[in-house]
Amino acid sequence: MNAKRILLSAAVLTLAGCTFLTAAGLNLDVDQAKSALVTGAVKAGAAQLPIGLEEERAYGGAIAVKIVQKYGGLDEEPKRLQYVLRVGQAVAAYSARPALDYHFAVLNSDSVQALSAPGGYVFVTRGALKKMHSEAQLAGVLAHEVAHIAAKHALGIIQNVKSRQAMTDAAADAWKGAAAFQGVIGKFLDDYLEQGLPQDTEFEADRLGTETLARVGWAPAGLRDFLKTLAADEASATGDAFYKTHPKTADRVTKLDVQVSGLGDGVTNEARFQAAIP
Amino acid sequence: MSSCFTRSPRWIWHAAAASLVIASVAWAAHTVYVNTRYASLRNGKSSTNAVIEKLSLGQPLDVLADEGAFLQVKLANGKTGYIARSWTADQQPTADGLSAQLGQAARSSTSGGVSYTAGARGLSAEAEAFATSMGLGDAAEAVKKMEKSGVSDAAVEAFLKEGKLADWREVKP
Repeated sequence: MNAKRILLSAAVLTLAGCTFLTAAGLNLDVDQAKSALVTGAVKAGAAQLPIGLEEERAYGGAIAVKIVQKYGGLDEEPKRLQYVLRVGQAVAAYSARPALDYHFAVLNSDSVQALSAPGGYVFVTRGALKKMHSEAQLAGVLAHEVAHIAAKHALGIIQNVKSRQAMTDAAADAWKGAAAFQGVIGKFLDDYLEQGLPQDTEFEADRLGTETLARVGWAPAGLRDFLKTLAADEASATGDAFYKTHPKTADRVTKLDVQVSGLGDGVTNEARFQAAIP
Repeated sequence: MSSCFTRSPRWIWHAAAASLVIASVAWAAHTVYVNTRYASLRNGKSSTNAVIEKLSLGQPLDVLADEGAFLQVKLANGKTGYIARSWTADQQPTADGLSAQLGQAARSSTSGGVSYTAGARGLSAEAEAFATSMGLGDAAEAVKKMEKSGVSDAAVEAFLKEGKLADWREVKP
């Protein structure tokens, strides 16, 4: 629904506004009722507008801050970081959203996890790097995260949270103020940092990420092979964050088996990976 | 009946001629856009052919001929050559929109402008306020540091070349 349609709906609602608000237990006169309805509709309309780039970066920056705090800060070992930056920027340059500026970092955590935030923030833990065996696997994991950003998976959820906040929080005076921003971010983090994104978006990111691998010339099986490694650990490590925030690994591997079979081969660059991440 | 019969062929011929003109104009104006940061105009239909000119993300290219995996194109400066079809898109990539190349999940861009540079980056005032209110000042500083941890285009291009990736991948006979 676009903003114009919402405003039109508000105009219709205003005709019955007095009754509506009285029934809701609010003690407002007709003018106040009209004002409240129109103000609410404007807020709701604004919440329905697509999130622009600067706003995306603002939400993404806040989420990135929370991710860094949750996973123990950054691992800045130079050789490892420089390698991840190169693989990451190469992936991003050939992704579905190449014009965005991306930022990559290694998280100072031995848990196995990779995460992203809107606006171009991509993270991989040191623990995940230790589980990988080749550059194609690293590229596959980073391409999966870049795909989440390119397809605006988390941003779509934030958009929905924004819309719901606008509908239920009619008392908020400054829709784009700090309180509203923090309300949206808080709700998003509560719901999704622990649980992960919806499963269909994870599968889509797997597919898009694998397309990127094939496009650049890495072995298209890179992501699939990394997930196979994790699948072997899944039974004994179901409490790890990665398994809690992603679909069942075996299901992902099965879907990728089908996709990879039609994509030919590519380089794994194992020696270069082992030299950078021993 | 007879007048209609005698007029129809002339009308059809005029329509056909107009269609041909429109089609030729449309072909001449067919433009694609570079959709990666590391593409080159080459003097032949292979990634091993010599580079005529480095191309930039979003650069428009007039298509002269469609030759399968490669397009013969003309730049605004008049230079002609070849580019891999994979490195082009029908729509100009924007920072807040998807390239059309991986189109299955593509969504329309909501931005009218084209921006290829970060401009002023750093955490927004809202993100800073969020970090402050949550006591996450150290993490906020780490994210700012992350934003500054860049790598040059030349370094990435050298990395791709060394790894036999993208334009430098080995073509099997």
